[in-house]
Amino acid sequence: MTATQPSEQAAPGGEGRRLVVWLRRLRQRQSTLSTLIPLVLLWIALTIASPYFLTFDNAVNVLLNAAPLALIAGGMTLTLIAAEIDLSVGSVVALVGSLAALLSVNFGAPWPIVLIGAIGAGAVVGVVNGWFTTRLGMPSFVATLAMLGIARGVALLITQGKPIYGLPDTIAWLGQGELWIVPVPIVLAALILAALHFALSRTRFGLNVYAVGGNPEAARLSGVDVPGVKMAVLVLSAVLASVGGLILAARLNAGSGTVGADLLLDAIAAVVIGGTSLLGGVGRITGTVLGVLLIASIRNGLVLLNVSAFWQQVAIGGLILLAVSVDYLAKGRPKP
Amino acid sequence: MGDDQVPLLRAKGITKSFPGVKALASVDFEVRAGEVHALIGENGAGKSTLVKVLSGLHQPDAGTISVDGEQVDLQHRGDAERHGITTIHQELTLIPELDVASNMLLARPPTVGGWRRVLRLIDREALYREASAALALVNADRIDPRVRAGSLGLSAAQLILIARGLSQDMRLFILDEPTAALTPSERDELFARLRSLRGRGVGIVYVSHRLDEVLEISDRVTVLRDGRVVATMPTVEARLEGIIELMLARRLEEMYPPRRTRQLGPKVLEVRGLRRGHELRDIDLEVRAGEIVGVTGLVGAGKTELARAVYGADPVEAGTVRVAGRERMVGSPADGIEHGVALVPEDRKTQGLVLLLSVADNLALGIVNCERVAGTLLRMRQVISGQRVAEVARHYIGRFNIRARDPDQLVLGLSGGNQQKVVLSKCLATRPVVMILDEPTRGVDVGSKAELYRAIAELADNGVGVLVLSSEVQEVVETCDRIYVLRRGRVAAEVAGPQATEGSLMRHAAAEAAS
Repeated sequence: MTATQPSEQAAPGGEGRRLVVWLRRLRQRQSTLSTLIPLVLLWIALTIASPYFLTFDNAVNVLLNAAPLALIAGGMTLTLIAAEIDLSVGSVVALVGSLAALLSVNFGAPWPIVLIGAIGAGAVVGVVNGWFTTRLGMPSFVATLAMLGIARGVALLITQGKPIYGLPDTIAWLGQGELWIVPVPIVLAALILAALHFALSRTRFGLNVYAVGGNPEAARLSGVDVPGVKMAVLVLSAVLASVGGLILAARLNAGSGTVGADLLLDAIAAVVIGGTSLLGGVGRITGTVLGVLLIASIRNGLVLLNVSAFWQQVAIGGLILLAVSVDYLAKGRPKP
Repeated sequence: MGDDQVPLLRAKGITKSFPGVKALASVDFEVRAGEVHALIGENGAGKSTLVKVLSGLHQPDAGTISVDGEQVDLQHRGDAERHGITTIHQELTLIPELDVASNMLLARPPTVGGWRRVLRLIDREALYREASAALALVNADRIDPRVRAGSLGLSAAQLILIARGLSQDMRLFILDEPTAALTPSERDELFARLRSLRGRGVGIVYVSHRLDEVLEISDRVTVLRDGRVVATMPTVEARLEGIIELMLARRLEEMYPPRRTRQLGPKVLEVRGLRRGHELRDIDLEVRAGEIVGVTGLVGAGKTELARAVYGADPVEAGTVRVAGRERMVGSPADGIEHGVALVPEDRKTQGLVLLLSVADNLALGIVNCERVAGTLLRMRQVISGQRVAEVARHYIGRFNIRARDPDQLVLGLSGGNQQKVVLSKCLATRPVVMILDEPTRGVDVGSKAELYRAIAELADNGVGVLVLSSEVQEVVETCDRIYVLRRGRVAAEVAGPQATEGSLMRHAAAEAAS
């Protein structure tokens, strides 16, 4: 009797396929490494192209810009592994930033109230997303798509479409402060992502997230509270987006209803480049971190090289196609 | 038919390797016009690879395929169909939202003639006419070509595919496990159709796990083992035991562990008045510690429904389930697990395992979600000890001879029998007092079957109450201490294991026809 791997069966032999098969194995077994290689190549290229790229200041700059995206992509990783999606993250960023500015500037609320109120509002969005998804059985794509519009609209309503400037120093510290020489957003993002990585790879909750995404019925029969896990990832995603929203507002020193729209697609891009499956059950935080760094580095590098911002979009799109097509190429084209 | 005639299909020296595995080693196989040629072997013996080569889905590394004596090159499914070879897979390939006729003539629908030809409009009338004619070829006139394909049962879908093949002048049908989901009467109907196809000069390759069916329907048998043909013989010369020995190189008596009387303990499972609609009608049953209790019955008698209801996977309308004397809430798997009930579900792939997780993670999934035993793997109630998980996994891999490279191998890559052993291990790891096994050996090769039966007997030796639900009557007769027969959601009979025979159980299971 043989234990044949169906995935290996599916790849017909042939000289030209060898590289593709090798790349696929690399992605499957060491998905982190296969994203690391292009990242390092990119860094080498940018270092050669621009003397400024490999400096401490620029490295901090890249990470600082990447922090909100990293938080949101971290939440998106869990959501996608659980075979759900959260489209409302970009709007939550705007809502939370606007609310924080409104509370502190217009109402003069003390900073703990501002933090609790703003992140609490984000959590409520997550609970609503989760309620429609788990209790009503609505696809999270639809529920969070609706919330994308609602949260954005509320953010614009409460700010009356104009940025609210002048956050108090305590809130601004979240975006502009430094711990020793490291900016606070980088510390926050690093700690939270490390915690997410630990949760996903070493805890019961993490295992249940994979199980729910990989096979919800098997998870249920194993005693997993499937709706509870889905609720948890959607709330977590919204809370992480809230923290990202606070950091962004603090860096801009303003709450605005228009920020964060591009974060949704960047987050999905980073997660997918990092090897997480849109079908659920597969993915890693380490891959997502590399995906975020890849996107942030490209953005930064193209700015340094004075390339039009429009090319950044093209580059990131191309990157997605490149990273994901390796997986599909190697599976073999569908037979007629 | 004489031996001198050119066979319809001849495969010579077919060799096919996958990374790390030689799936077929110089296989010779031929099918004559007007014969049913059975292809049998354990899981992993190479049956499905050979079928895929013959239907153009895989290209052999070496060897030739000839149709009517002429060598052909089958690069994809279309090539095979052009040479008159069609394959009817286990998972049927009809589009549920289209009607029967559209499904049958999807590839080349009749188009409206005249000037409208350029629009390639489908001629609905001709479509239904042609479809009806094709259905008549297999005596399936009762199927209305206008109904949605998705509304039909599996056996009707099979007929549609056969009719489609005939209407396209297919001369060789490859049927892969065609009876896996059919009721006995549907199966008889299929066999009648196959016999009439044979009379028409069509060649049939019949791939099946069910050896009794193979002996009934086939003219010749080819046995594969480890990618090689170990024998091809006329079915009249074959005997069941002989075939199994060829498949396994092992004797049949070794399949079932010897029956032995065990010291029975207290009742560990007591089901009273379990009811839900027509599926479960006031079912009472009990299982004692150390007892193996079988439940059998025809397809649709309520076996799976009973297993799931007792476990708590589905809600019930009325009835109680007591586990080790304590009444448990029904309708929640988590509650069943806490009370010490474990379920090996009917379908390991969709219900038992997370295929994209490793062997170790699947075991951990069962353990960490059972509060009684979660502490053995968890620190601070949430953090999983990877080292302990690996230890547990290695223990079960050794105990059940699971063929996995290491605990981190994905269960996706394991064969059916090995996957089933992982499900069993996952259940055992929660230290159950009652173990429910729903069709535990379905789609499992004979070698793994023997190992599973031994594991079940061991469970009972250790004082676990075992409930086996199976439609394989022989398996129930050979392994169980006591047997309940279900009929239309009711317990129709209760028989002591040693007194049970396949015949008596079948009579109970199908009694309404007689009474």
